[in-house]
Amino acid sequence: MYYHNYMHYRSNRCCKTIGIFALYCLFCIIPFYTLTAQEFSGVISSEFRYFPEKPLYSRQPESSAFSISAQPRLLIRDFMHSGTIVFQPFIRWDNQDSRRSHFDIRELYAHFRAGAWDIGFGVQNIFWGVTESQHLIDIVNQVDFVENMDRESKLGQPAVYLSTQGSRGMLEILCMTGFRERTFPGVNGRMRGAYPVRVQDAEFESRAGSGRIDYAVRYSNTLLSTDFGLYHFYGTSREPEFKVTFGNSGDLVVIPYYPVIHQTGIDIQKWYGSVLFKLESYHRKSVEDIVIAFTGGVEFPVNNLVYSERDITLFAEYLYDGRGDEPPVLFDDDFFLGLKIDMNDSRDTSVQSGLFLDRNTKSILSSLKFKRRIFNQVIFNIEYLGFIGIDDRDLFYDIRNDSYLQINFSHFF
Amino acid sequence: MLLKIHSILNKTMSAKDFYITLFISLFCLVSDVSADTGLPGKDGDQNQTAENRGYEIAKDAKNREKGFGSFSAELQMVLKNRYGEESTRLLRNKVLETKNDGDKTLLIIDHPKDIKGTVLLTHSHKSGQDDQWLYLPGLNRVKRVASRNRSGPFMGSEFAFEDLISTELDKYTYRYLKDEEINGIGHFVIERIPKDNKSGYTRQLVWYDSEELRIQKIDYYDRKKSLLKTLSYFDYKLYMNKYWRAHRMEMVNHQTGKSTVLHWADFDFTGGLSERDFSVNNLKFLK
Repeated sequence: MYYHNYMHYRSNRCCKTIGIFALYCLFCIIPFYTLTAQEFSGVISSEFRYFPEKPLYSRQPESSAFSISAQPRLLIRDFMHSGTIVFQPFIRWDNQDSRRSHFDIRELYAHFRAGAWDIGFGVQNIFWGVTESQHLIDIVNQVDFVENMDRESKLGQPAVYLSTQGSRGMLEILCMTGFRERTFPGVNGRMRGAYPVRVQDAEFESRAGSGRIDYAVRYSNTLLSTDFGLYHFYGTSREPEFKVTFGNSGDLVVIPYYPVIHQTGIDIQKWYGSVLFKLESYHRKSVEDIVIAFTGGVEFPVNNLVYSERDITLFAEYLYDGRGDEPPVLFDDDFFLGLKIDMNDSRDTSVQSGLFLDRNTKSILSSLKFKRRIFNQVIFNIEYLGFIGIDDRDLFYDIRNDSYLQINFSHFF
Repeated sequence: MLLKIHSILNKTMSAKDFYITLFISLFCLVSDVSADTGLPGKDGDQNQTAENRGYEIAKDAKNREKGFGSFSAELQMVLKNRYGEESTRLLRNKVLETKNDGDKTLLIIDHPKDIKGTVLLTHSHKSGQDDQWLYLPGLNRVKRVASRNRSGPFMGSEFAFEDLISTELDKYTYRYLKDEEINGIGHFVIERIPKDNKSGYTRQLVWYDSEELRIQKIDYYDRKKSLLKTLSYFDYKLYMNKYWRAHRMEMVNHQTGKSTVLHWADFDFTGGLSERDFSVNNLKFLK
């Protein structure tokens, strides 16, 4: 009991630290304000989701959910000559799921050049990866899972980030000074299991909990038409395991558990003409387990064969995870097929479709997205996500009825 | 003297061969001399082929553009459809000359706001495929682009990507066609054919003014060999006493009736941009 409270206290302190750091940064900026150039921009978005199938569990929304989000951005250039400060908070309000309503600081950092090095200090977003179906090795930032189950939305990561690039390649060094826990839908949300994840009771292998400092180093270069990158990460895993125990009132409770891991990740990208071959793989070692996973495939522009004004690209990838069925993981033995069409018109119309097929369970996850600019600064998005023929062995089984149709209007300023 | 040369050469070639070689060498010397005096072709050397002359003019024009080091400029792109409806794009363009290879180019999008912050980085190469990367601000992701559809419309405009990025001299074959006078100014008309068979064009006609070898007009012919578009250059201004830059470019698509006007402004040749500004790592920090 005490241990849980202690962990909870530590994760609260991390948020408080970020808050204090944010205020400190803003305070430091004031005297320099007149010497800088600043730019204010951002996006406000409304989202409507319609679920054609009935929910599986009680207290889930019957058929629809509506939410609004805002992500403003303040950019300050020429801070102390060559420095830059970026502040980008994010907020969402969801009318059904209170856990989906959330606030995050996506970015709050200062960037400087020091000799051949670029230094970023603060909450940042650093992306590593080359594949499309999933970003397997993208480890630095935690997934904002409640935003979208495609795991493309990320929480800000406080870090000190050093990078340099020269004739001998690129070197990146990260010192991550605080851990972000993964967000999950609450009891009033769709896209959740029978028992919502109890994020407030998260447990950590590390005694420092979410205050632990994690490290990563990455080297990358290009040789003979091949981009490659190799990194090592030592710290708390961003991907939680789930412990199922009995709660106070005797019902089942699902708690996220974050182990400490050593993870080595590699990404390779080779091109022949305009066809790209890609591979991402990691080797993850924790106290209990060793896991190997990879995602690999090809990006093929159809424009190679057929002349067109539109950009038409085909993607085919294979996803493998060594953990297999015990416990079930997303994409342990799956094929992915994707198609992207950019119309190259003045409204930047694009269509994107993807299909995941599990080789063992034959479950299908399909997605179809359409996007276009409708007024000068407004983007219209319509998206369909469908679960088809989900087998009871599949991790998607609990959300098999949560296929949805989503409409977004986003205003950029 | 001649006897001595003759006897040396007798060991390696016959007298007939020697005199033929001598005649050809003297002939080449004469041709070279005429090509060195000012603008090529002005003395009307009949023996230079149309292909050579076209290449020389294009090469000279390209050489006049060289040596600027780096520059940056603001670019406003106004798209107009056949009904007169307009939409605008705003970009920043930065270019760096490299010592032994092609230019490095940055195109930073400022408007429309939904793609603001998107950056296209190109490292052109004299031979082989260019390297290109696209920075996507939403995901903070740098993506290598191996397959830029170079003939597709750039940002929905009438400019294809291959029209915007200045290409290396040796990516075309050239042929001089004729001299033409427009508004009292003499022009050279050169035909150039892209060597890349993935280009959207089968041929292009380029008008250079004979005074400064600035491009004044380009006609683009599509894959069916019909006239597709015409690009006209206006408002040339001289920078750093050496470099001509057009402040307005107008591309008209004859087949669809659409047009795009490029307004260039704020040319800055003194920015002192370096390789680092055009590195892949820097894409994340470009704001």
